[in-house]
Amino acid sequence: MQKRPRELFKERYNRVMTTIDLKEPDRVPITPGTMFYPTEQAGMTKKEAMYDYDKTIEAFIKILTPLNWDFMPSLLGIFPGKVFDIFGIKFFKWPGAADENQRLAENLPFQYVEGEYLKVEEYEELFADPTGFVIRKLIPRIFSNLQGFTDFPNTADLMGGFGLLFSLPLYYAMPATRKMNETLFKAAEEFFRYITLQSQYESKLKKMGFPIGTIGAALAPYDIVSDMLRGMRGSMLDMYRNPEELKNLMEMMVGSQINFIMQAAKMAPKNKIIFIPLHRGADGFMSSEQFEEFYWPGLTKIMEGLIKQDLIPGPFFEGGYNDRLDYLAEFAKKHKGKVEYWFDRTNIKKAKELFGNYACIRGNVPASLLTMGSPYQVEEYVKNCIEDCAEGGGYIVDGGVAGIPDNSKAENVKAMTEAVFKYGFYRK
Amino acid sequence: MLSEFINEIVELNEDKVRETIRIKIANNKNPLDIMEEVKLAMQQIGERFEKKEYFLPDLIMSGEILKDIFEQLSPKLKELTTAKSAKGKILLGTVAGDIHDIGKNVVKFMLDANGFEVLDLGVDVPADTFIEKMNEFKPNILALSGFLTLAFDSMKEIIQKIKDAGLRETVKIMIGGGTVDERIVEFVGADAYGESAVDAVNLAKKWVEV
Repeated sequence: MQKRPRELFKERYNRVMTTIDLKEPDRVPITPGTMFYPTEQAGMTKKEAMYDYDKTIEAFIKILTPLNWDFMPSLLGIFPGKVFDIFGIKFFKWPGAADENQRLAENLPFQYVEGEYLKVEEYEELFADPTGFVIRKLIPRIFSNLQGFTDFPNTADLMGGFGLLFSLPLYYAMPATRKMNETLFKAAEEFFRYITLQSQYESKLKKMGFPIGTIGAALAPYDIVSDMLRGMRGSMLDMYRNPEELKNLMEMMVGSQINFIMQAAKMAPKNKIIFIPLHRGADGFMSSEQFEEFYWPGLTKIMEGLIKQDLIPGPFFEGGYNDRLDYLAEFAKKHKGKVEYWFDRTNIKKAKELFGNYACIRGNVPASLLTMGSPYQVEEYVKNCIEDCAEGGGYIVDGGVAGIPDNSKAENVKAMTEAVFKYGFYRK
Repeated sequence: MLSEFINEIVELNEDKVRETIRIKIANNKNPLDIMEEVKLAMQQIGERFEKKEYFLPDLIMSGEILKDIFEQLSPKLKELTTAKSAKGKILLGTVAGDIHDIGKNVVKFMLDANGFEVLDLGVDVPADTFIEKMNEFKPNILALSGFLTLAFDSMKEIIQKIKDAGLRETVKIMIGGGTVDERIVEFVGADAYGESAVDAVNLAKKWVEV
């Protein structure tokens, strides 16, 4: 007899949660992330996917629901192009951007443009007045259309008396401020439209019996500094030249990341897994000593903060973390059944041996297999993963590089999914 | 036995290196001799990278120290620069559609440190540019980098166009980057792939010796 959507929803949700709790459910879950895979399959360009949210939702539902995954991916992997345009964001290039300096061809994915938005000589200024620095300097550097913040009045002028009476109206009357306010209004409207569609997508899926994967996302403090503030080069030179400043800056990120996630989590109480894509902590980027001193402490503080709030940190270990497994094991042993480690090029069999009794493992069908391999190769790979990792629970099937690569072959995605239904049932 | 100056560079002791250079210049040391020592130091740094003692922060820091040395020496060096006796010529770039460059830059650093002459075409490089530069630069080796999975198709197209231009036999081709592995080599029509910058150096050494 056909199960009702409500039962299916509960069954899928519990299957994943039981697995993270390190118990055996009925079957190994499969919860792939996707970016442009569904829209590619639906024949859309990446520009369309970023600008026509309705069509993107249709594509996700049409392409992915027949696969019967345990979690459907959230739409948040595809950023809203119009919001980017309105702000004039500089740290991305994307297909179809209004500003030609940021524009990529219509069928290229958005890509990150790293920059040194915080100069080394500005550390002192930032620490002396973080709010003022971020408003007057950082935001105008990152968003072309928010130049009005540059002239935001000095805090002392706003403390009272005539200064307050005059400086605020004067500031708001300036042409750059007016333009900026229009930008903010438009961005808010567009962003709200995007978020509303996201929740409509979620309720549509719920009616079909599908829970949705991660909605909340956090970043490791080192990655925020490396990606958006000092640039990788700057952040790495800081390890030598300004280690204390670097650490102070990262410390500022910890509380704000947790607060930010708590807000998102309140909106979606069932979405307990918090996606934490990691960038510069991978093998080869830094030494284990540097990792231990600069990368791991901030990340673990955030993960511990999330666990305290009854959320599940889901760090995505992009690249290889084979040299870092001892750190991961140590954290998992302190927080048994509270984390989901998603792996890319890390040896997951070894990970299972080291900390499979403490942390749920997710991954890691290689991008090269999904895009270029044969369905048989994919099936064999998934079968081996299940043999190596599924015993006792705590294993979830997914692709390695952020789930399903955009240009994966449909027959390979199907083979990956079918392998879970073929080999993933636990013997009771 | 390495000189103290070389050790200071290898240990990435920025302040000391700067001071030593100042003294050397003041004492009218031959800048070419200084450069000889710097070259030895860079080889050492490359070796530490190979042994996984040094990583990106250390390479970037050594790059800064090197830049500083060049800046101090450059007025004297200009008239003395001699032709490079490179081991081999390598044309390098991140392929069309992809703007990631960290891996590529590390490969360039390591190939430089190992005595190859490297021409780096930057990121998002289309097939036509590779072909144009192959004709001008006449490399022994072509090194294609890419982080995104779309790079597989770009690499394939570039190599196909190189074949069509009749240039495929003139170069060995290596590929590398985030999602590249041995499965991709055959698909794109390359000769080999490298997991790391060290692999790139080993491949290059092997290929130019033949």
